[in-house]
Amino acid sequence: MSSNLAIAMHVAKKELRVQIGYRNKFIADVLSHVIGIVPILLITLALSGSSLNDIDGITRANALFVFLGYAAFMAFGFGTPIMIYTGMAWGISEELQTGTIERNFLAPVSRHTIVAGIGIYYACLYAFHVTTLMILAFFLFPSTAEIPVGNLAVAGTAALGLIALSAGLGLSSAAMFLMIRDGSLFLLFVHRPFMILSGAIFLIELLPGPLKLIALVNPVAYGVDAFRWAFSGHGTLEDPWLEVGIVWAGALVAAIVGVIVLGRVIRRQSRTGELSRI
Amino acid sequence: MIEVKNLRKEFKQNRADAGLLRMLFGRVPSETVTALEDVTFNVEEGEFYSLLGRNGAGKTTTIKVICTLLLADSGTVTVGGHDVERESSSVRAMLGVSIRGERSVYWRLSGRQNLAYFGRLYDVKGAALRNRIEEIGEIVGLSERLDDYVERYSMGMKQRLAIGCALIHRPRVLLLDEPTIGLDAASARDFRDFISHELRARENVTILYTTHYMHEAEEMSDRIGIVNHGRIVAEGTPSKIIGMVPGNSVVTIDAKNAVNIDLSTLSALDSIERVHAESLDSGSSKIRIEAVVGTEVPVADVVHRLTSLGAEIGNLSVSRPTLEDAFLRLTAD
Amino acid sequence: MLVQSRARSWFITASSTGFFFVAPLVLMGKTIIGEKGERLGPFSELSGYDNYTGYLAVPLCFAFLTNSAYSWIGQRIRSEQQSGTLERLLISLKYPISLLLGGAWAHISFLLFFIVVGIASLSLIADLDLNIDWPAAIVSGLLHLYAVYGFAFILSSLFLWIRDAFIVQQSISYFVIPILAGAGFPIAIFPGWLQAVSKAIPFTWAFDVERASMLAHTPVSELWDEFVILFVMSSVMWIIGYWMFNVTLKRAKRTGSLGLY
Ligand SMILES: Nc1ncnc2c1ncn2[C@@H]1O[C@H](COP(=O)(O)OP(=O)(O)OP(=O)(O)O)[C@@H](O)[C@H]1O
Ligand SMILES: [Mg+2]
Repeated sequence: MSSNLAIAMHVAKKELRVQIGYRNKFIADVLSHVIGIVPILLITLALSGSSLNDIDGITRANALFVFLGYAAFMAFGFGTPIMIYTGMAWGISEELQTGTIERNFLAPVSRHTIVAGIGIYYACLYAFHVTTLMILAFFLFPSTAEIPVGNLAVAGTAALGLIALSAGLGLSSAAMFLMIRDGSLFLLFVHRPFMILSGAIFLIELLPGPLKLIALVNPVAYGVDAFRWAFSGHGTLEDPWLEVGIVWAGALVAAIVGVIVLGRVIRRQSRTGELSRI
Repeated sequence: MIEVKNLRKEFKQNRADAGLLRMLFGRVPSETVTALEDVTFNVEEGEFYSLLGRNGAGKTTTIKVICTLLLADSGTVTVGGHDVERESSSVRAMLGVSIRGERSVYWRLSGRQNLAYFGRLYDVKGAALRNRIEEIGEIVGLSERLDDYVERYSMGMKQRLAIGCALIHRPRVLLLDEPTIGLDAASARDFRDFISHELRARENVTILYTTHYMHEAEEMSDRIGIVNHGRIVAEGTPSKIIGMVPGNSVVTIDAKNAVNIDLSTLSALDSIERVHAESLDSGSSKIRIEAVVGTEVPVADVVHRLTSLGAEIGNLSVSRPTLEDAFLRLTAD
Repeated sequence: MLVQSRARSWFITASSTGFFFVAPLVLMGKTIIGEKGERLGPFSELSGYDNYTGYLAVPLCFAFLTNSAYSWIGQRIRSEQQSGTLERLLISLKYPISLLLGGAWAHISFLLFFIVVGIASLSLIADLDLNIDWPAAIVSGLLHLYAVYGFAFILSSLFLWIRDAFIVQQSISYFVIPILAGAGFPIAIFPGWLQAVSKAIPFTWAFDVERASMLAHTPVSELWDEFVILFVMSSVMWIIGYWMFNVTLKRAKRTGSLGLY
């Protein structure tokens, strides 16, 4: 077990090195979450009737709502258009294309460990995204720096839960990438709905009926809400700790499903020979 | 060490000639390709076994099944007594594999980082790993380039690095799929020397090898298996394989003063099938002597008789059927 | 085309992009303005439009969907590079630029289809309340495409110039352009100098005429000035793009970076 962890860490380190090798992409990975919030904030500003030179209190409140939701959502990854291709699934598809995944699978370690290692890299990346955004928030919205420790615990566990959820789903999407080469369908039908239905930048109450129902079973929505509650005192769904629980339960389910699905796909692929085909 | 029994593998392939709309929305018609019909062979511990076969014969498929990348439809494969399907992890730990060489390393990392990474995957670490990386650098001749990015390597260097990665954990069994593809003559030579002297003589590594270079197979193999259409159609030592095809060992001699010699004295010798002479303009003759299938021309005897009859021997050349001849015969459709 | 059609999911992804990225922003608009438009006042004062959902949806839809043009071309170059066929193609093509133009028409028809689909699917979640002057809308759309392809040329040169240009191109087309050109907000919120920069970008004008023609039923006759400006700016981009593509191609051939990826 511990050696598996060590190997997964090693895979993660390798992933970091490889990603740094893609210099421009790496820069985008560590920056685009910050750039991505800009158009959203500008639209918020305009909708609230302010301009960059003159920002009033209501605008500030609106912006905080959006900012916190966005920051929480970053823990889940896949937040900005250009990052849809990051994440475990991206890493896997890249390795498939270059042909190295096959080489990795020759090592006497569980294939899950390899995939998990790639996942660790992205989990760290997402944690970095949330952290940097919150540091930015402390400057833009000083009130967020003055919250009680209890709230911080809620925010932290919610964010970690979202990261774990993302990793769990990442397993399934990695499986999907292995299976159909091009996982954009999965992104489309799973990740993007999760994104749009998370209420990261809007109130879930405003969704039309059926979509609202789906949003209410989406653990991401609860994670976002708990996180927002922690820093602004406004939550709209449930009790924050309950929400954190929902996120973690979701993460657990996603992980179990992911492990099973990925295992099956890898097995299936080694039967069809697709694993080693580009 | 490696036991392959009645291996069978079929692939379903989508057809590429379906219409555009069909590809977008419909089910693409597929057909079945039998890559391995029925492959059976054993590789003993410490043996060097080469699989030869035409493109698409099923060599790579066989290797992939052995290295656990591919599951067979039926048949069993064991490596060192471990079943590749049920104990895949222990099998993988024993194997060093190089398939699709240059594509199996990270181009965006340096050679050293690649070696370190794969070393760690095989649980080689710390000082042992560092030393081993230096050693491998020596072996594959990349010591000076280890800290360069792999994408800046030439194709042969990538190939060598891939082989290096396969060796990093001192595997007991090596599966090498066309490892010398893209290597220059000198490197290929070094590599063969390394395999014969270092790996086989010192470490008693078992090797399963595929190549399209016949001389390589002939020089290094203890045994050769010829694969055709997913079956082993011939197996044995290189000389046995060569002997399997009808084809004669031939001696050609240019001789002076031989015009009047009675050639029947030569045909009388054992194991000579046919003798044929023709006079050349220069006054000398060209004598062509064919041996009975499966035997050799007794060159010494022939020379002795000719000289005792007064002929002066100029040029003498011996040609035997080669592995290539045998290969072409055995894999002909 | 053949290459694209094998990735059928690309088709679906591209056609739904508009919905998935624009819908949250439209909903954000609803959140801020209020479901019944309670807090609309300041916004309509700022932008000159009452219809905030349409105001967001129309340009954002165009912005996100035309981005697929960039990624389409970019990805094409990249995948050719990756599979090693780019060098082959460039050997066999008489005019390398046709690499980019080839298939563009197919793509444009896709694009028009997707814009319709995008706007239609958005009406599912919000009342867009469009008020379209068709001739003006069509002219705006075509000019926008003209600008998009000009810009795509410039971007595609990036691919021959830098590795991983895909991500650079995506950042530019998803962030820099929508932000500077004011997709989804009036550039009046910018400080003066930024407004000047913004006005130098053809897309600012494109979004402007699209909003005018699709939300306020402004006829062609009232948009002449904008159309001419947009046309001239886009033409300049075409010229620059063509020039850059040839220059970078030469450069790539010299440095041997064509085969790298
Ligand atoms: N993943 C796959 N899917 C479908 N068919 C495959 C797959 N892999 C191999 N094949 C088919 O199986 C057959 C055997 O292929 P294999 O790669 O084993 O040949 P090979 O002997 O290694 O040839 P070469 O000398 O060209 O490397 C071929 O007909 C090939 O088309
Ligand atoms: Mg092969």
